[in-house]
Amino acid sequence: MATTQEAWNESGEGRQPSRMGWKELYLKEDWWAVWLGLGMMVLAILFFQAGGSGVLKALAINPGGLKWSSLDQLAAHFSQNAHLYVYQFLFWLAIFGVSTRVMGVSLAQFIPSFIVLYLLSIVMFAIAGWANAAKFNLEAPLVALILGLVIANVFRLPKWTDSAFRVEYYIKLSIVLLGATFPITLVLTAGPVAIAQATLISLVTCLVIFFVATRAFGLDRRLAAVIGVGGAVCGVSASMAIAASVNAKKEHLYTSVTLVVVWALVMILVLPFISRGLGLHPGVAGAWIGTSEFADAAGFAAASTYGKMAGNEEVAVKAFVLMKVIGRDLWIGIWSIVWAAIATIVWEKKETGRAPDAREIWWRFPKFVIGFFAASMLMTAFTGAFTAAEFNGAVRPNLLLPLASLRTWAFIFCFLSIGLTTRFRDLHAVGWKTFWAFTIGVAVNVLLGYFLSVHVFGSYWAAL
Amino acid sequence: MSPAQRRCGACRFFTGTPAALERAVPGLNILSSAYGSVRGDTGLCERHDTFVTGAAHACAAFAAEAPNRDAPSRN
Repeated sequence: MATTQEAWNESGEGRQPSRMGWKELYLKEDWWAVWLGLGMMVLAILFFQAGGSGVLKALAINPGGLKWSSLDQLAAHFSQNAHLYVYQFLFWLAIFGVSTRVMGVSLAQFIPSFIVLYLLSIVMFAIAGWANAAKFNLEAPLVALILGLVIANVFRLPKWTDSAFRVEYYIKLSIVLLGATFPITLVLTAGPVAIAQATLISLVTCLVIFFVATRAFGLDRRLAAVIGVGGAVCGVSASMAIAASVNAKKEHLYTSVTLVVVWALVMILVLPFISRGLGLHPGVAGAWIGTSEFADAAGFAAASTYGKMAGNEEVAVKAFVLMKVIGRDLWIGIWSIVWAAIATIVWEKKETGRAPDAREIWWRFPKFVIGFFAASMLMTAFTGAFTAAEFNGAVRPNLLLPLASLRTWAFIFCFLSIGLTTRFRDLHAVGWKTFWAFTIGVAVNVLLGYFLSVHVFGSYWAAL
Repeated sequence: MSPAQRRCGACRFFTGTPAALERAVPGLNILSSAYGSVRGDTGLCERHDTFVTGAAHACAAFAAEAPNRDAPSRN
């Protein structure tokens, strides 16, 4: 097999400018999330059938459900289960270390960085497992985010530590694992509503940002397009996807990074509390957050936080996934083609260098979603053979809950990584016109999303 | 050299590896990733400071050899 660098060179940077082809199966984190997520699920099912679900439970251990009220209790938990935490650490280190190494990340940098991430994650779980955590709003996603931000900006972590702080990789694995507890029937019945609502909001938001930026403020239309999809579809990932379609400048993407990160962080911290103030049903709030947040990881943090506040995290997260992942993320390839068409047909040709290509729908398709659907179908088919009593008495505690715990670990890795990678000093200065064009779009997005999620489809999301 | 071989992906000025892209755009990895499928083979042309698609874009400034001293350095 070619080395990773050679493979990347063949696919892009080196001598053969061909598409990545099959190499994508081991060079893109989307596919690794699929392999790892489905692999864990299949192993879990095999252990369950062989009566060995104890292994799975051991791997999924965390102090989050401890409800400890004294440090002695917490210390006793770690003392009794120290060996399990060592196994668990080695498990995560092995699967993430090997997969990121294949993708080209230095193992020598990944290992020390991941040790820090794992230890901080245990601290997060321990805080979440405190009996009074909810009283002080110490929800794990919020605490992880804030702690990460403080560490990254006070202690000035070196850039190489980002090797293990792979926000997107962890959230993609989490979403695949979420598929294991997501009945495929729910995806099929709720998906179309989510797509309709998300499409309407995405179109309106993108057009608002684009026209305010170009018509009202006279900004570069390539910048307007890049920040337009950033605010309307899936944040920086969307901006990067269409940057090549419109031949955007490096500073255009850099600007989008700043705007998306700042507003995404604000909304992680604000939306859960507004939702609580308004007394929203977790499903309704999840849908609203799904239309409002730009990035999957940020939205998950907000939806999970409010779900915990409202006592039903599962519903909030499911509504969020339907709206954000199925309603918005899946269609990024189409956005890319449309902008390429606008750039080549409507704008001056000299500004662009290529025609739209329908194959981009697949090339840019977020492949981890395939893992989510596969996990959902596989687990729905497997659990369909059990009676309700068997499901509640055996399947849920011995198969689904351990898988959900593994998913929570991946979530915590992700939430911590958001904070740990956010160095405010690295962000690009943004002009006021650009800021306001994007901010007006955010306001429209949030208000329209609220109206549709609460007043138009509210009863639907509440019944999820 | 055929036109296909003169695409941006084969140019000396093209930055297409994920690690190099994340270094080129600080903060890219906060809520996104250059290792994801959505990026496709989008990369940064350091000659024109614009984003291009490695296998689809091409321009007259294609450089198969090492860039000259005045060219922007690669990450």
